[in-house]
Amino acid sequence: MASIGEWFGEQGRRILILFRGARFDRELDEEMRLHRDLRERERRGTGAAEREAHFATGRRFGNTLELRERGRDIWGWNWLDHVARDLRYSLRVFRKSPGFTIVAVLTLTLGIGVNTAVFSVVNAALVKSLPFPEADRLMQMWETYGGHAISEQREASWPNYRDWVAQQRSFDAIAGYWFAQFTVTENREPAILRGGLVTANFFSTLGIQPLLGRGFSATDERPGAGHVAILSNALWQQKFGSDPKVVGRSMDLNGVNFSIVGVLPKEFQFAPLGASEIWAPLIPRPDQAARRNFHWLHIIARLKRGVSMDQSRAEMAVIALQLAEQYPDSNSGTGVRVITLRQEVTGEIRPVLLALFGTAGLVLMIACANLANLYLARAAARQREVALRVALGAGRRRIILQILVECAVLSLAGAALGFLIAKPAVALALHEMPSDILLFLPFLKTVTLDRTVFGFGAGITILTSLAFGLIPALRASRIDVNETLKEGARSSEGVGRQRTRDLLVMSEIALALVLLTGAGVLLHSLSRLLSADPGFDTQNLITVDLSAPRARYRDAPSINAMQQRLFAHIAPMPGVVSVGAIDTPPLMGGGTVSVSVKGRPVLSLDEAQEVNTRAISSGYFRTMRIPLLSGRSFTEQDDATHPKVLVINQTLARILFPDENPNGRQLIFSGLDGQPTAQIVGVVGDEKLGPLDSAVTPIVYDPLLQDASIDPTLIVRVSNHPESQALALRAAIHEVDPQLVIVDLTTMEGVISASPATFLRRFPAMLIGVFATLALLLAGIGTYGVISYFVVKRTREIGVRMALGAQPRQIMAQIAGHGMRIAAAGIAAGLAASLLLTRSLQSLLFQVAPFDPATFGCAAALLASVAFAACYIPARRASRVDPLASLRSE
Amino acid sequence: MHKDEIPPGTLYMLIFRTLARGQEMHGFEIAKSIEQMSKEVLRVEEGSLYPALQRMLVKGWVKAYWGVTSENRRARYYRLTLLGRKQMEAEVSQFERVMQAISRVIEPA
Repeated sequence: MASIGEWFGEQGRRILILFRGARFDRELDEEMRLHRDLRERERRGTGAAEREAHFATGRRFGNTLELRERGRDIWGWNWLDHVARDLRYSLRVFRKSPGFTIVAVLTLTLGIGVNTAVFSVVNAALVKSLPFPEADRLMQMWETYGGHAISEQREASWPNYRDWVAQQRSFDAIAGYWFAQFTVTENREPAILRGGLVTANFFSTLGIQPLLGRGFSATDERPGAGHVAILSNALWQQKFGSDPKVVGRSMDLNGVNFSIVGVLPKEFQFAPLGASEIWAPLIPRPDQAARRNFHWLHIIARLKRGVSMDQSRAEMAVIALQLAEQYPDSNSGTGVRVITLRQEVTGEIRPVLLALFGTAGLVLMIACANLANLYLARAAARQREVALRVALGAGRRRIILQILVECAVLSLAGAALGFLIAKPAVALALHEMPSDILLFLPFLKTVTLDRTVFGFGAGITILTSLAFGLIPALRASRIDVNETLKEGARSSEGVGRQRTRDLLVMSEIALALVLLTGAGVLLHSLSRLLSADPGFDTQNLITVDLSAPRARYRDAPSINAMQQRLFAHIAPMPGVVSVGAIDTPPLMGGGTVSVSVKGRPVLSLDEAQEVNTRAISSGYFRTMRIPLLSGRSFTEQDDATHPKVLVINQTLARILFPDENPNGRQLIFSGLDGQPTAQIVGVVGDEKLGPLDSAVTPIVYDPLLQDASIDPTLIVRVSNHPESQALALRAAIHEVDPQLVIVDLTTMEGVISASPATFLRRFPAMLIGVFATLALLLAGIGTYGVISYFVVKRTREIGVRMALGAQPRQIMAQIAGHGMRIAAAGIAAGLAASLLLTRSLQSLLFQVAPFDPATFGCAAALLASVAFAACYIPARRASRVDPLASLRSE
Repeated sequence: MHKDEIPPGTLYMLIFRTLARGQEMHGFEIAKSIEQMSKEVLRVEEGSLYPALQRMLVKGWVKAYWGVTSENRRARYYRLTLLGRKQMEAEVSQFERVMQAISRVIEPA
């Protein structure tokens, strides 16, 4: 038994000799020459003739070269020589069959590259998206309420938040946050900074320490405390040039002086406020602080160690019940929802990513099947070559080693290329994401290639290529040399291998079909979504999100006057059809209150009708082309000096006034202070205020002139080419007031295409579509390869049959029939498997069932026609076989 | 002159024994020594001697260094190592066990 030490000693000596290759040979030669010389002299001594002695010695010594080889073999480095030779040989082989080489390397590249890219993104989003210590204990909390159609969860109110904080025992800390926009003026150009308003314990709840300075403290929240702010790392770099002494400096936000107390670390990201560049303490306004039915606060919490989510949920449910008893007016029916922060952050994008992950896996499987097929075909084609080498004395080990080297070269080339394309692939995929969505997925900005999954993908494909390269090699090295060389083309390949190849192509077709149907249902659902009527005319509309400086526009009359000036300035512009305004950007949703009908029994808050409210200008309906169904629209007379008026949508009219004329009736805003009332003057058609895939909600419109908004969205209808109007519109707005901030100016179609509802369908549809195209290509190549090979193998048989009078048509039918039978089996299997994928995509589907007959039919037809084309070419070649030539060729 | 080939596997042992006398020898001296000691019955095939020496070098049983023969020619001399000595003892005792067993079988009863 050799000890470990001895083993290492031996390897050490082996390695030493490796570096002395040439000298090793020389020394052995010299040693043996001495031996031979001495032996020869000995012979001469015994009287043998000199020539005779020389030859006798040579004979005894045997082949000097072989001895040297054996010497090297003993030191264990001969294989290196062989590998080098095999490498050269492989490269020559690849040059001779560029088609095979390119397809094999590309297959490997795609399989590895796509998987590395997709998994890196998935990993960044689902695993690395919460860069906080013990991130799994971080929770998001929402209020819930029952009985209403619009949404189940809502932001918490400040008094409820305070009560939760005071009563709970399950959490280490509960912190609140809210969105904010700050106007900063720099070089006279007003700009918007996105910010977060947070309670003092926000950063400590996340477990984050500022890079510079301090976090917020309770004193910052006291009334009368000076304004303080914390900078994001990016803002610190851009605006302050990473000044290490920035703490203590100050900056103007909304015309108020804030002193900077801290800078956040570079790695810090909080996805729900992903866009935030600046942070300030959250100090609720008096109405926000006092009203229990004013829902605006977002809440995170850190679960105590040893407390389960279920325990915390149970405790919060009890607290919510007590609060409901204590404050029935505002809290009856109100509950608390506790979900993980991870779910909050990645919940929406998770199904997309998982679908991508799954489909990338399918691409990898197809790549492996294709690779296996390529190798099998090649091994068959090279049987004669191998037989020749065996006949010339190549050992079995040498043949196998040579094929292994070939596989390794191909695999490594594919893996290297795959790794190279992974990074651009990630960038390309992220490029397709709307910037608004990327803002809230900050973790995607720092996607790094995942080495583990690259290793996994590379490993799987390399194993496949080795396995399928080697099986034929093992078989080939055992072949009967004489028979193979003699029989040539009529090679003795068994039925078994043909069946393996058929099966591989079948599974390729099945997998490709799965991808095709997946992409198909997503595309179908996307087109359904985009053609779904949102209730307004989406074409030729420009939307402009504006923000007006607070210091300049302090009251409703000044705000309204500014907006009237804007309308008056924009309406006569060339190409402008009409202009309107609304207080909330389109497709944003939100902004709900409870209403009840005056003259009917008073309802409690959770029984009252929840509606969306929107303040609009008199030109809004005309500009959006929302039809007026009865009564009248708003006019310039509906201002603060006239009675409050409302327009409701059809859905609300149907709910509240199924059998009456709503015009003239009064609505009470039961959730608002003083329970104001207003009169309904008209009913309009339904429009979607929320995402395109959401249901139509009941809406109450009131005039901007009676309900001013300092940050309205202008809606401009133009006669054509909305993109080309952007510059003129910008100029016109700044002519009215250069201090107005244009937060966003885009076309309505741009808004729709960048909205999450669209993106969440378009993005996977696009990527899976790319995968499906690749899969289709690979399946086509696979089918073509198998059928071509099928034909080559049967050339002689075909020749005989044609000599016996078979028609080309019959030959074609036989060949194509074989291919189409494989395709049919693959398609059948694929349709069944497709249901699994489309089911998992269900949450992304819009008005399309997972089993969508149209899509499934189209995908199957497409695949069948590709398979047919792939069969047709070799089948046609077969039908043109010259019987004489085919029989003679052997 | 007829000489018997060395049974496979025993060459190491012969080399061991030859070197074990404490002298350093080059390849030809080893071969000659084995032939002489066996009274010219055993013949060492050079084709097996040098591979065997190489293998013994790999295993660390012998050490080699270049020296000069009495006739002023460069030659590689081999010397037994401590490890080689241990290996030799193991092989010799195993060989003797086997030989005894074999002779018990083939001797007429």
